[in-house]
Order: sequence, then structure tokens, then C-alpha cells
Amino acid sequence: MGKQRIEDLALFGGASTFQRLRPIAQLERPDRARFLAHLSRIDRRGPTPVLVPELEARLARFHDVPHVVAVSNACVGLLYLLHVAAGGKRGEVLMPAMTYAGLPHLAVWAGQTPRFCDVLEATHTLDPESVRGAITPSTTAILPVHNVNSPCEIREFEALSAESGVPLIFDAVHALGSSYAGRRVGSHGMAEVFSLHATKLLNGFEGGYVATRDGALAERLRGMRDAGDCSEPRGLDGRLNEVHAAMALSSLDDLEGVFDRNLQRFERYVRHARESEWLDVLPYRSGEAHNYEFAIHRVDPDSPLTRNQWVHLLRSEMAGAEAYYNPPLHRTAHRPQDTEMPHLPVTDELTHRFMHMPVGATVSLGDIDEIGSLVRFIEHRADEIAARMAPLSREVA
Amino acid sequence: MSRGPLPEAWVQAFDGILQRGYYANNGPLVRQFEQELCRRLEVPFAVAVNSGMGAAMSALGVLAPTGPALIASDCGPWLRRSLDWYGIPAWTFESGTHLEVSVRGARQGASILITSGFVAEADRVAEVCEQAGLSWMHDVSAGLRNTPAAHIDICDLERSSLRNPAAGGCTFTRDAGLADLLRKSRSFKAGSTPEMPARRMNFKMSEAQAALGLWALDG
Repeated sequence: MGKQRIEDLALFGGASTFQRLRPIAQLERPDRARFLAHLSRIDRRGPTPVLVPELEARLARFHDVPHVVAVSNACVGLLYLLHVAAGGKRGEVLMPAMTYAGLPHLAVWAGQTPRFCDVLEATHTLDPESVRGAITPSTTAILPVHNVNSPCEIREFEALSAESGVPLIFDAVHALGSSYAGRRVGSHGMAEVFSLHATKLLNGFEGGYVATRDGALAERLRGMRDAGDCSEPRGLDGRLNEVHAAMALSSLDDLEGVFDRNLQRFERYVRHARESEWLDVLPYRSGEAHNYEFAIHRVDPDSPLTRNQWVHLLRSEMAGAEAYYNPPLHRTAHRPQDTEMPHLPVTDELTHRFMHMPVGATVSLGDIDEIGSLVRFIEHRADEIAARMAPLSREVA
Repeated sequence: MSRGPLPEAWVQAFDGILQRGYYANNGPLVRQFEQELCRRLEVPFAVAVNSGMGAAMSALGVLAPTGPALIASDCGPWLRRSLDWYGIPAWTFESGTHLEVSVRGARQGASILITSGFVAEADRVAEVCEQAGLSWMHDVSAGLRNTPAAHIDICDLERSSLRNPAAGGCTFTRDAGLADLLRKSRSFKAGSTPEMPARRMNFKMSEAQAALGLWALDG
């Protein structure tokens, strides 16, 4: 039975639409038999990995690159690369502020200072011109992050890197399976880093990997990964364990299926958004391959309910919507205290407009229909709901 | 262990994980593993992480030494490499001389004592560290049953007697405040407070690591 009155909304005392939170996470469950079959191939007699090299070889084929180095998580891969890029120098890493909280921490671990640059309004990815203006002799790396709806302006960044001599590292966690100019992401810049975390596209419980065309770099990364057993002076034990590799291999067997299911969910959201007055769905760049991991919704500025009020209402119904990278990192404690507050007008504007909707294997098409109905119910009574939420506005905002 | 059929306990553990759909991010098995370690080692707080080096780096971030580290000669190279990431100079001393070294090192500006394996007169060392304002981090990988009274004990579960096939690490402490900071320092998401380490890292243990850690404890 759908909602009839405002009091039926969970925020005002009604029963929530879902009993269990519908999250923003892929959480794909691999085929049990396939996973156990991979698991049984682990050499449990000794430390010699069997599945990790196999996974690396398959991922290298997937990305059409000569080298893949599997690591314990994507952050470790990025940290290794930032350390190598710096070459023992202390300097700045240029990165977006409209991204996840870990990025500036990784720069600091590598002995660098994060410097935030602005993003492009159309793609939400790092703006090459903003980066160009921030490059100084102390810049040690450019670190753009591919967004799920659109990879970065790769060609411009490669030109900028060649011109300035600053190493280019891509955080490609959300771009697995996406293409740029018809070529699958993974072979650009100095290296690209992907995740094997369960909430991402390729579920290896936890883990990550670095894809690169540079054989010497791959060798060096392997040395850092095996800290304690190697001569690499700045090692950090970042080995992917065999059990995680078994899971990643079974997930890789079904990766195209993951993309297909994501597309179905995305299209269902699009269908509902057509009937919505104030919400629309951020499109994927046409002519390229995508993984359809997210369904990012834009809240119309004329909506009587703010983006944060939408998020609050939906979350109270156990539809786990989230503000899209808000607050941006330069406005949080993740910006090191000794750095200046940057001027990032596009980032500041964008982070107030968008929200993530629930996605992934635990969200059915029926769930999305429920969310669509809920959105229509809220829209029909938006003025009244906004008035009733006014006393909460400070908390919600 | 051989490559033959999977142990039934593994199959059951992984069936449970697949059914729950909870794979990472300090899930129910990680909490169970931590509780089991606390019970067996009679330590009030255990915080599981993804590797032994993760345990060391997490502990160093929380203890936040402001000066050089006194490090025993029998500590593994991975412990020394943990110091490198913080830029902490290492003063190596001959293991077996912990007490004298603690006192002398504190006078000379050291701010943390790092030991491994068996520590003679552990209670006395703890007392001296307390008086001298030295933090004490101890690696118990070699003898998981013998935790002394350091501020934070760390363990590499792959190198320890557990030999966890999915690796992992753990920190142990008797201090509730330190335990809270250790929990927060293993991910980026926890809210920032003035006490929080300035840099954090993804040191989270997965459910698979915890499942095989529990299996290894039973073995």
C-alpha cells in the first residue's frame, strides 16, 4: 500500500518504504560454485601465489595493457604511484576536491601536499585548465579521477603531462569497463588504479590493482608491495591475498553481466525521472562504453525541497540516497590544516545539486519503481512537506 | 595443508558470507574475530586490520611519536619500514636490554620504544616508559599468547602462529581511548576530531580475512 497522506512518510511517523536500507554499493554476489572452484586451486602449502598472477594476467588482457599489479586495496596502489612519481622530492599533488575523502590523505602519506583544482561543469571531472594554472616547479603529480558518467579529459591531461613533465596518474576506480575515444580505460598516463572492493564493480572482497604500460614501473611496484621481503626501501606490505584473488576471478567471470544489470537499473531510473518535475538523471556520455554503476540525480533549483531535504526524506524511507561528494574535500578536515582554502566555484556549485540514488545488486527493479512512486508522492506535496521540514532545516542542511 | 579439497569449515564460512552479502568494511565476522582474540588473549580491546604492517602504521599514527624510535634489533624489516612512512628516525638497540635502553633513550630524546618477541621484566619496562613519557609498541607476532603491557601490541596474522592464509593484522590495547582511535584510523570515513591522526589509510580487514582468522584460531 503506497503513501496516502504526509503522515505516511517515515519522517513524520509513518512506516518506511523499505525494511532494510537500499544502499549505493554494487555488492555483487559471485557464483558460489565458481568461487569455491577458484578457492580450491589455492596452494595452501606455502606462500607462493597461484591465483594472483592469474588475476593479473586476465586483467591485463581486459585492459589491453602489458602489466597489472594486484594490491591489497586501491589506496595502496595510488600511494605507491604517488611515492614513485615524487622521486624523493617534496611537493604538491594536483587533484579534485569533488571526490572521496582518501585522496588527500594518500598525498600526505607520500610526503606530498594535496592541492585541489576545480572540475568541469559538464563531466564533473578535473578541469585541465584549472590544473594547468596550478602547475609549479614543485608539482610532483597530476591525479585526475575518472567519474562513472564520464572519464576525465584524458587527451588534454596527457598533453599537459608531456608538456610539463609532471607524471600523470589516474584514479580509475569508477571507470572499470568505460571507454575513452573508443578505447577501454586502463592504459593511460603513468598508470591507472582500479578497485576490487565489494562495493565496487569487481568484487574481490577487498583489493585493487594498478594497470600500466611501463614494465620498469610494474617491477618497482611489485617490490614495494612485498615489503619486508625485498630491497625496495619504501615498501608497504600491499599484497593481495589468494582468497581475495579467488573472489575477484569469479567476479571477473561475470563482469559483463554486472554492467548489463546496472544498465537495466539505470534505465528504470531514467524512465521514472521522465515523470518527475524536479529530478533528472545525469546522462552517460554517448558513443562510449559505460559500466552504469551509479544513477546520479540532479535536483532542479526550482524544487521546493533542497537537495539535502530530498536526501533526508529518502533516507528516512530506507532508500539510501546520498549527497554527491558534499561537502567537497577542501571544505572538510581532510584538507591539511596548513594549506590555503582554494577558490573552486564549479565544485562548490555542483556539490549542492546532485544526489546518488540506491544502486547495486541489492536494489531490484521493483525497488526502483517503489522509489519512483515515493518521489512522485513527495513532489505532489512538496510545498507542504517543505513547510513541515522547515524546523528541521538547519539539521538537514 | 595441501591443495586438495577445501576444508569443510572454509566452505561453511564462505557460504555464510555469500548469504549475508557482507564482504568488507569491518563486518560481523571481523567483530567476532576481534572478540575472540580479546577472550583468548585476555586483552580488553582488539582492532583487526588488513596486514601486520597496517597494524604497525595504524598504531604509530595513534601513538604519534614526536621523536626518534628505539627499535629492538630483532624487529622485522616491515616494522622499520613502517617508521619510514612517518619519517621517524630509528635508533636500533640490542634486544634483551629493553629496560636500560628505555631509560637512556628517553633521556636522549626518543619518544617511542618498539620491541618484538619476549620482553624480560615487561611490567617494569611499562613502568619505566610511563615515567619517561615513552610510548611502547610491541610486536607479538612471534608469541601471540604472550602480550606484555605495552600501550599498543601489534600482530601480523600471517607471520604469527595463526598463519592466516588470508593474511591480516591486529592491534591490542588496554586503553579504551586508544582503541577508539585505532578503530577510526583504519578508514577515511570516521569523523575527524582533534585527537585523530592527521592521515588515515584504508587498513580495513575483510570478512574473508576474519573468517579464516577464526578458522585458524580454532585450528
